[in-house]
Amino acid sequence: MIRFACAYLKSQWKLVLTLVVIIGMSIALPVTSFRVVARYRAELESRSMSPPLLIGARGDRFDLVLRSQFFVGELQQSLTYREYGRLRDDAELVAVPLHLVYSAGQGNWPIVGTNSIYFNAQALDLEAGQLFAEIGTCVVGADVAEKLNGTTIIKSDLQSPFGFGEMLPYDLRVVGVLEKTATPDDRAIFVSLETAWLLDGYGHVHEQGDSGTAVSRRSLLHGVEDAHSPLQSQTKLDRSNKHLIHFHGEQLDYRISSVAVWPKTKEASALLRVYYQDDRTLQVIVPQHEFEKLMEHVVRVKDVLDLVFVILLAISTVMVVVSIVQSVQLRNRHLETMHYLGCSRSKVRILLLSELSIVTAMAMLACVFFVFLLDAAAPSLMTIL
Amino acid sequence: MLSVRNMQFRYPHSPFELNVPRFDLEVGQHTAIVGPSGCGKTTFLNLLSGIIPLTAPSTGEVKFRNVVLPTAKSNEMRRFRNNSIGIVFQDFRLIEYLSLKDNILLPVTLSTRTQDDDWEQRADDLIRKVGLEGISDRAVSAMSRGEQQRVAVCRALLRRPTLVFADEPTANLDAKNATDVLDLLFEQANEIDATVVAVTHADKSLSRFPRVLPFGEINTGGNKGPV
Repeated sequence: MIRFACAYLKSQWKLVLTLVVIIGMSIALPVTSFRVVARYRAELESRSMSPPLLIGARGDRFDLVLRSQFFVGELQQSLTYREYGRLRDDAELVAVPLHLVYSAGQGNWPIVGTNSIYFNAQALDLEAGQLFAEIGTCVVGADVAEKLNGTTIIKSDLQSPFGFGEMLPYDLRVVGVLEKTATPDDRAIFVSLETAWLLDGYGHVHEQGDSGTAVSRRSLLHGVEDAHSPLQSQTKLDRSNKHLIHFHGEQLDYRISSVAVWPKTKEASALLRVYYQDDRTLQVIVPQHEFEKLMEHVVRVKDVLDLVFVILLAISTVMVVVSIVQSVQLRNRHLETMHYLGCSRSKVRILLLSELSIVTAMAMLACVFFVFLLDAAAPSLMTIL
Repeated sequence: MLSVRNMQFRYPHSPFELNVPRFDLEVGQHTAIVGPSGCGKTTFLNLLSGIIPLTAPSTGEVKFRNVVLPTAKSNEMRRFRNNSIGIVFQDFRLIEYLSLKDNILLPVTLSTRTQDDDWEQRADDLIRKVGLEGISDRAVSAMSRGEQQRVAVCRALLRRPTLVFADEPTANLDAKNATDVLDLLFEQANEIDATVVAVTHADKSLSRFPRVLPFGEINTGGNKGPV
């Protein structure tokens, strides 16, 4: 019977293929959607807890959370390093500065300027190497390391999101690789704040005889006393020119994107929120609250998607039923012949059931394949969405 | 072996009427029933084999050993068709997507109680006898009509039936193929002691049958129109 069923299905391979794809997709789409949303939710939820508070300049709250915690999107506003200084001195808080302006790998890898406290606070461990100790060095996340495939030099992207800064691709030397965490840290490049400020153009390297020119109006150093732009800036930092690195202006006035804060007590958290409540330039954000608002949108989108999937499933079911009924009708003559030759109706039913079972099994395999495929494509799809 | 009594049959909404008061067939009495196209020969053969049920408003009785139509139960009817008779259909009724051998084995595969005999060997023997060895895995859709006719004959003979009903077994075949098919049919039927009942309008093949009955003699009810 199975041989007969296979022979028939082989002869109708185009129809079988269509049914397998339709059934497989009809199941794979809602399954993938459920899995992706669940995973997306879990990832966002766990990340939204750490850090529990964010401090940034007033402006878009979502942008601040997305850029500071997930390293995605753009953050137009910034605050000064001076603000971080105030938080750092509070014994009830663990505060970490974040500089989130630049990227490498054609925008795929955000460059995160921070300090060593970040790694402790986020419980990040080194898989190999060491933390950045010198300007121009970096520590990369596991995904970045995988993509680099042993390369130890990363060129920063030319483009500055704000349209100012030196706009030169700096060579960043990889000195450490983080363990995989399945968080946005995996695809980030971590540098010291000094290195980030070097990319900003607050500092530079040039020959001693290069007195340079006046800084442009677009530069962050515009208006800073004694500041200049070198005629020929060096972007490859090594032992030979390390001593030539110098910064202009007051470090406390240098920009950072946000400050991640881990309060040690609930009281400290409450006090911090009250302190910045009426601040005109800065705001405190509880990322978890923003995450819940975000998830409300996601759930709404998912509800719409679910409705679409139900409609698709209904259409697919009708198509499958029509195809099977039509196929049986077209084979009526064959089934009639079998009956004439002494085949019982139960045998005919077994034959049809075998065919249906084979198609169902193939559709399930296709479904598994589609789920894997869609799962793999999910990050790109989520980015598009 | 086979007897028909007072058979009366008509299709709904058709002037055609079949009336067979008596028809008997003895073992080994190969019979050709002749008549023009549309006179009801195929209908008669289908009534004999139970393909068309002899139920109300039709009347009469077909008796084959202990099987009596139309009173036989469906299980009995299935066994009768599967074990006791072989049918060579006019249009072969082969299943295109199956191979030559699978088509021949069809009555065995479809049966529930046939696993104890070496039917594969029997099928191979038949295939060899009809000269189709070497292509037994070929799909029948890729075969010539002559080859397909031979496959249909092999399928009818596989179960070593007592009765073989052949509906125009040489129709649409050239003279050579027609002779080959009849040779095969009689040779195999004689080998397994089967009786052949064929309906035909081919004059050339009639000389091969020891008994030739014009359909008009069987159907006394008068044909009031084509089937």
